Amino acid sequence: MVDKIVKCFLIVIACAFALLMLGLPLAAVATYALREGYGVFIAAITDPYALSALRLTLLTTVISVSVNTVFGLFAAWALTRFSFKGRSLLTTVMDIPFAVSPVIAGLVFILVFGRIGWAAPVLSFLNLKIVFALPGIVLATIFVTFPFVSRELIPVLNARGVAEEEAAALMGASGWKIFFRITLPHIKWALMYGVILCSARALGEFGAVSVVSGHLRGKTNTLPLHVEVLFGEFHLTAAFAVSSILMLIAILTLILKTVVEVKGKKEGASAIVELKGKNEGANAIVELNGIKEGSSV
Amino acid sequence: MSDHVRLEGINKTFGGFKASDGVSFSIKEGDLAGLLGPSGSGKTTILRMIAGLERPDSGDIYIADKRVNDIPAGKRGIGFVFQNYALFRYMTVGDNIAFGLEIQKKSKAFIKERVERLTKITGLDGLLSRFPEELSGGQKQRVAFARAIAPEPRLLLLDEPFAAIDAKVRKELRTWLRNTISELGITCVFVTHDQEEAVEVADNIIVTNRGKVEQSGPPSAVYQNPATPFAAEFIGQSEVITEYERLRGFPKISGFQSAVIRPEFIEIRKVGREERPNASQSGVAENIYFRGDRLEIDLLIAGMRVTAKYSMDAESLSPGETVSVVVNRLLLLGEKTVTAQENSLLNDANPIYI
Repeated sequence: MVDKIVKCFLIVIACAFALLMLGLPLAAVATYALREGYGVFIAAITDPYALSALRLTLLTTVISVSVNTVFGLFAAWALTRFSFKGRSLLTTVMDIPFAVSPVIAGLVFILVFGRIGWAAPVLSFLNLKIVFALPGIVLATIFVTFPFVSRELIPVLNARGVAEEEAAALMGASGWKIFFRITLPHIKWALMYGVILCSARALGEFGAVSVVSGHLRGKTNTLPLHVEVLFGEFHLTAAFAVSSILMLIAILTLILKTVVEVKGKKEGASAIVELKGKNEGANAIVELNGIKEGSSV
Repeated sequence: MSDHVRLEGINKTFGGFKASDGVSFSIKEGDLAGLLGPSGSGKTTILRMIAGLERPDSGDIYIADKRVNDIPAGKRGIGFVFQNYALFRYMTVGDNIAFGLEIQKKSKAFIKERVERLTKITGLDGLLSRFPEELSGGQKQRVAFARAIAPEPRLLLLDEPFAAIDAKVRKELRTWLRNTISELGITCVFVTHDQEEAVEVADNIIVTNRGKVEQSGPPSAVYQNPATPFAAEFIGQSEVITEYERLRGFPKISGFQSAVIRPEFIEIRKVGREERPNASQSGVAENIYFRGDRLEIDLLIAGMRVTAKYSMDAESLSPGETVSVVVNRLLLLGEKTVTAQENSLLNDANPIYI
């Protein structure tokens, strides 16, 4: 009886807290966005500046996620398949974006590529503009989202070992063939999961981008920056309307993430059942840890 | 027949660990050779170097008289069965077996025919569209074997092929593998830590220890005439005794500090039933274990405890009974040598009754 009360109590607390801290703000965004009617809402999100901000955000996300997917794959492969000096150092370095405040990341780019930066003479000679332009925004976003893909891949690659790849190589398969026929089918869910997390982070990135963008309306304003500008100018309804776009994207990402997680877990689970023997038992634990780690990021 | 595989002075270190230390041996064409040694003795490293999955630090590897050190694994034409099979888990059994043939760009019709033939040989009919995780251990082993021999390699390497299979199926698979390989006529090298397996399956065994080859030769030769103290202790149900001169008929020989005794060297009889009383001494059958076809006895003799066997058909013994013992043979261990020593009292004036 007491157990039951404790159980109910804890569940109620958890639900109330989630509702208060997560549900209420989301609801507030929706109601605020619509409080002056659909007309104002539509006007706010079809405003040329809002649309150009959306375009810039999507473009930045596509570029930085693509880059990080490719490099994440390379990095995960190198870290799990080769043993070399400085391997653990590289692993640590790759986590820097998790540890460094995004604002500092942005400042670093200003210091390197800005008018007072080290690379300024070269850039001005080549007539390239990085800071306060698209390249700067993309670079800052790449920096912040760098570890997401590789972080998802490394535990999966570690857990599976190299035997299947060795078997394929022994039969004369080329590197590409091994990757597409043997490795990719195994890591595809983890890869997808990493890409989704990376995209979500890239879409919402504010701090680093805010420093390097220069807030040029219609030019270097991303959606989160645009929201801030609108809010600063007391266009509250418009700010919330634009926020609701980001919120919608976030909810879509969550749904996608859940689908991938469920699918990936299903295949992962059957792979674990297949594992027998001491060695592989240990591997399975690594894999389980990987899944855990994945869902806690 | 000529040598198919030849290793000359192979050295390999991992960090500070010497996995291969001047390894040299050769395997004849069509032979079924077993690399036998305790875990950590470097036998898997040797196999992986032959396959091209590891590079030796120094020394040469020849396959069919061609130096292969610089030839990548995929171009050596070797079939390999991994310890945990390493089946491609996202491919069906059929696709697994066909993989090597696809890489070789064989025609669809050819692949289909060959896969069908291999499934017959390996008894995998009806399992072609299954995925590896839906198979039992023995079935996976067969798939791994079929996949390895599909591209018709001249050399097949197997890493602990039976380690992950339960005892009953293992025996069956051993016999099957032995027969299939001799039918195919390919040279085969397998790694095992199980001496029974090596002795039963291999034409030749290569005993490894601490990165070195201790001895190689036919199982019977290695069993009866071990060349090194390690081989003498590792093969057979061997026990090392230090005061062998306390056994009747074995005077101390200088340079040989200890001896290996095996159950089959010891003959136990009931007191009063001795056939060679002058070579007999008394011992105590402390414990008696039933082993199915025989009895195993913990025997206390001259203050030493050894294992002996006793026929099920002989007059029964009870635990603690004093018995009469003749030790026929010992393997005396020197610093680096082994010598087989017969009981010196047996060939004397007293003839052996039959």
